[in-house]
Amino acid sequence: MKIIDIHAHYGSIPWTPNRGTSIKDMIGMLDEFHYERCIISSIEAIVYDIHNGNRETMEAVKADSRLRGYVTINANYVGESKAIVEEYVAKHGFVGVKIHPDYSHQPVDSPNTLEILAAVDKLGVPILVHTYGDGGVSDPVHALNVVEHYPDLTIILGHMGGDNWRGGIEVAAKGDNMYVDPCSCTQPHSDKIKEAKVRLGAERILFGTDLPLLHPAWALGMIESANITSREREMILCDNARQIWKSL
Amino acid sequence: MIVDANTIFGSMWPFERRDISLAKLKGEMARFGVDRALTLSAKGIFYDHIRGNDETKEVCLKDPRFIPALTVDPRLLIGHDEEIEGGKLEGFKILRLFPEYQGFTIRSSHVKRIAAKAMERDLPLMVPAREGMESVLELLRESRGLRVILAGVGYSDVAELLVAMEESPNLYVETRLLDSPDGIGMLVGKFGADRLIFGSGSPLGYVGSSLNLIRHAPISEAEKGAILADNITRLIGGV
Repeated sequence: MKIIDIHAHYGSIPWTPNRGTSIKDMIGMLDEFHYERCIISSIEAIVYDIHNGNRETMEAVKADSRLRGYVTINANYVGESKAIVEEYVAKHGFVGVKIHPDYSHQPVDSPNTLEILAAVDKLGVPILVHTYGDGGVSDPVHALNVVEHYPDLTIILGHMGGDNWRGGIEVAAKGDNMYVDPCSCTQPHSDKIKEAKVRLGAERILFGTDLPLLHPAWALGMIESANITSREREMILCDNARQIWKSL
Repeated sequence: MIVDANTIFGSMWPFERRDISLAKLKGEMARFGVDRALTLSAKGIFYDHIRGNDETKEVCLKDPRFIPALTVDPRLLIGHDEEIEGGKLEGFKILRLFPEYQGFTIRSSHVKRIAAKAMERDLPLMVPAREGMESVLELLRESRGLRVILAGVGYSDVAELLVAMEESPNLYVETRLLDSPDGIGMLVGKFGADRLIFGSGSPLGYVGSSLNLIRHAPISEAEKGAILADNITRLIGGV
């Protein structure tokens, strides 16, 4: 079965026992699970330094033809983030933008983020937003304001809202260009994917793992455990991503 | 052979509309090739443990794939000892506590008495990892010989888990939320495979994910077999 993982990371996570934090380990994972493509963003860029992190991701992507990159922004650094987006997408072929509001403490609809998203919208690449919880900066509801400002922008709700996953589904239902990525092992609800399918259709669900924090074995098990058809499984694991990124 | 150490069944899941019926549980077991399951009625968690244990017993008597897990609600004023004594005689194999739903802590003195009784009757105790390693270690220190299965240990608990497993050889780990075949490999490398136990939380949790964690772990087939069936079988004295 073909797999496109639209939510993976490159870099070190000290508190996970998973391998996959070096490029060699990551390639081993791609081989083990027969990945066709894997889109990565930098952990360092999320938690510490957007410049070094994105640079390292660019080097990592060169190591294997199955890897693609998201450029990571930080809304506390508007000018630098805009420049980084333009550089990495236009010059280096990165295929999307990663936003993690928990670390910048800025929701995806903050004035700063919206200003950066103007540049992203012009480039026509999707954004992958970390969404988790109800009421905080990562509440998926913030994505609705982004849709108001940039109706053509493709938005992927990473973790589908996490413990607020039903909220994530409802938010996604309000925008045609919104997709959900249900990966999360702290909310092991066996009906999660089925409910997303019923509300949104299988075509709006994408396969992500959060590798190397979470493991592909877990995320694939979620898909295997869901009561969906084999065609829907193919769509989620690969074809839906191909619809978003035609030339991935 | 696969034995799932963590399943439930019932008519209603009170927090939301979920199908936790016995039929659903059986369907999941069939779909993923699970041969046997330790199970209990959710009635015993949310309503009345005596009625719930009766329902569990009835289901397990009718279908030999199911192995009965006992539960008691510590909030009930009296009768825990009798329920545990009786449960042991009737063939219940482990005792499960549900502080997350019943609003108590396993550090309470009346809960420690329940744990001591389980030890006396040679019933392993399963408690959720979210109670905290220190609370579990406290139980193990006070009831020497008690065997505790920690259910739902997450990847972020692993550092603390390593210390706890080192301190207490009677601490066992249910693997469903470790989210990490590599973490399982590390635990096996450090402590051997004998203290890891497969559980899925079915029908609420993902059986496929829980199984994948074991199947993709960098350990031998014999070690996988131990985690999937042999360890829990040994712990409860046969299935």
